Amino acid sequence: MSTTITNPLRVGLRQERVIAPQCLVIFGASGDLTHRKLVPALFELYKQRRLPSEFALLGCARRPWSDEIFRQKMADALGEIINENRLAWDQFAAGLFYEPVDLQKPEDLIKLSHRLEEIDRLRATRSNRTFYLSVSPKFYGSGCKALANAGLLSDPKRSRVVIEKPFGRDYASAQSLNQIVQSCGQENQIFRIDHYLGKETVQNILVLRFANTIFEPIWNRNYISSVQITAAETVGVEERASYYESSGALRDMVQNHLTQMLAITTMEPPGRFDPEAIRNEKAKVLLAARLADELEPWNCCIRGQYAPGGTKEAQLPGYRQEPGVDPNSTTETYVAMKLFIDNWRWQECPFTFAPANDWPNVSVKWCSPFEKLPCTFLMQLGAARQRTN
Amino acid sequence: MSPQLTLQSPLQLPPSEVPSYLEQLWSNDQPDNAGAKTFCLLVWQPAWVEQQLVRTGKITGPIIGAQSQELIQAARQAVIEGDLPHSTPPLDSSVAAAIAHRKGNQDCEDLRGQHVDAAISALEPRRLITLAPTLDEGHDLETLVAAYCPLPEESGGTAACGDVVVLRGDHAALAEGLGILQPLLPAELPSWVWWNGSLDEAPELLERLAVIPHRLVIDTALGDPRRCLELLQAHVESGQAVNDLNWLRLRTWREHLAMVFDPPHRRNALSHVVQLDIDVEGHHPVQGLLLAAWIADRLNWRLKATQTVAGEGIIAEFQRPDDTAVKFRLMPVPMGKPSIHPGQIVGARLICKPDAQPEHAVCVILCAESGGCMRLEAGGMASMELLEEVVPIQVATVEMDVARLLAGGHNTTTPLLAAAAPLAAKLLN
Repeated sequence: MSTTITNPLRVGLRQERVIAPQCLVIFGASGDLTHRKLVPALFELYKQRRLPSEFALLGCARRPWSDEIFRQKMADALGEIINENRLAWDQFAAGLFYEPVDLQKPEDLIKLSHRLEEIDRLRATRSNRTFYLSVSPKFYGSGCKALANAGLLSDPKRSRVVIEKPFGRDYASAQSLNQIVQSCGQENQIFRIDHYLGKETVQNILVLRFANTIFEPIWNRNYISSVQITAAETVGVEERASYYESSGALRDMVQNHLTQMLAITTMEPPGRFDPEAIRNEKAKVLLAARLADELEPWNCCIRGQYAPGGTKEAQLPGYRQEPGVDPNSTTETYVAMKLFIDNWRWQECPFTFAPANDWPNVSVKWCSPFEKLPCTFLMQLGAARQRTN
Repeated sequence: MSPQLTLQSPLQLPPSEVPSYLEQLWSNDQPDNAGAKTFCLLVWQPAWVEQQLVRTGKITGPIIGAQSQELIQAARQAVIEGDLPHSTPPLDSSVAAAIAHRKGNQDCEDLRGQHVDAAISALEPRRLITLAPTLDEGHDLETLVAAYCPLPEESGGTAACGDVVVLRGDHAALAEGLGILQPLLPAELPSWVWWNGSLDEAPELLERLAVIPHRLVIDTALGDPRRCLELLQAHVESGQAVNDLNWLRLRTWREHLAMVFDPPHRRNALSHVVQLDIDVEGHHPVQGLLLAAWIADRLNWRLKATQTVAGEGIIAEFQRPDDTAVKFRLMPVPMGKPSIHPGQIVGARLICKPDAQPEHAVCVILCAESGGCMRLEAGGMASMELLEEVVPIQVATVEMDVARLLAGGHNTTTPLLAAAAPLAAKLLN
């Protein structure tokens, strides 16, 4: 029999669920992220009919570009993709606009406000606005303040602000940034996002746990002996040396991705399936989490770097040999740590984190060995059969 | 959520003065008065059954045009009292026709157009225009106008204001009043035309209202099936954005059928379908035909022959890409308590038989929560792998379905419906 790869009945069903009309405002739109990732992703959504007809994208940055220049820059970046979908691009590009804005200049914010009104009229975007701060993290706080001072976050139903990771450099700076951001709008307007958490596989853990009567009764310390959460990347830091030098594996992976994996894996079922209830359950379990040895953390945490390796034919550089990395760098590319969660479900069950670069396989592995069986007569039976065969 | 009523009593104006009155109301020299920059909705709201039930005193008014439980219950009672077949949908035009013969002259307030369902008012339409045809012939055109601003919410938010316009009168009066509509629909805002009635009635009005670039919302469960499908096909082919509520109600059936074939090991079975059976409520086949057409389009089947057999539904034959024949049968099933939407699907069966591996035959049965799968379970499927799914009853009101469309959509017809509509029309011929 031939193999059908896709499910033809599934194709197109998602087209019928679209977001509300809105204007997406990208600050830092002259940067790489906009033309390399954001606009191609939005154009793909447009081609799949997952954006409404009443959609606009307003790029903002300090460069004095016009709408036409912005459209041309985006078209140049998409290249071949556009040639294959010329008509779709022309329709999509009609909703692309650009406004030179310096978030530190109040007069620019007033200009921006007028431009948004104009786009609302042109594209019928119903005053729904999402402000995406694709700027250096050091401008997150001042950017939010500038938007709030200009009255652009005054409508909690229609305006949102999106902030990508990293949200602060450490606990103190994250708290300080949080205070600023919270003073600019209501909690439901602020989206602190991490692209990794939107992945279906991560979200499916909730379904696996809470829509499944097979697993939930045994999802506890009585049946699970330990949990290992591993994130391995096959590549090294490559062109991200300057970023990685200032972050390291702990900030890049542990405090966000792996902590979220831990929370989703260990949280209690939320009372309702809504963001607040899920967040509360995550917070509760994280409050109960602690390092295995808090007084002497070196007993339960390891930091390391990848060294030169590979084969004779294909040698691979170590982290300190990567371009742009300080030859004496102490930035970690590997972290492992052991934690415990002090609650009824997980008491004394060890959790291990291990993110690493330049690993043999790409994977985010989450492994929960179950407790050993009290009696092993079936294994003996298997061994006997093997001998017979 | 309770229905929202306009806070202000509507103002009755001569039709010719309505555009200038509204223009003055939202004039640019009063910037604080700017209306919502959302959308306009034009509704054909006949509510014939409701008008007849109010006239005969079976329900108390006011007439609002919404499908309330009281209305549906009274309409079901009218089916029994009117000696209509028990499988008649309660809001069918035959019910209105049956009540029309009865005596009664109860009068009550007509609030059609001034009542806005909460699901729709939450979207803050800029302008809601209602065409409210009356039972009595010779009713002159009345035009009512009211502006509204939602009350400030506790959570803050900017109140976006809008207005409602009601045109009330008999068919001739409404046709005469259509002239004032064009200037009332601002070109910069998307406009929807919702034909909330049978597609058989007032065809000339429908054609005058449903013009590009307005987005059309119809329900192909209401009206003569052939006329419904022809109209759907014609408007899709004209390039208009057409939204069919009957198609929207199919979404759970399509979703469940797709879900059955999501596991990779089952997908191959879709290349070996030999039979498709669909059961629908009563004698309105359009929803069943749209489902069949969607499946046929997705699986690249070609229609070879079709035949309508009186009382026995529609029998057709498709040809798969490998030239194997696929038998299709759409069967009308009488229901004791029919849905308010005529012709809802109550069951679907898909039989897949690979020639080379008959032991891998699969029978997929989807049945409505209300009915059960017994009828489709008969017929020698014992040797096949049986996959059954129960499709839940949809509780969304028609207003909620329309609100979903208004909340965000496209200015073109969904390609799946555009592909299914002509094939469904062919199946009926």
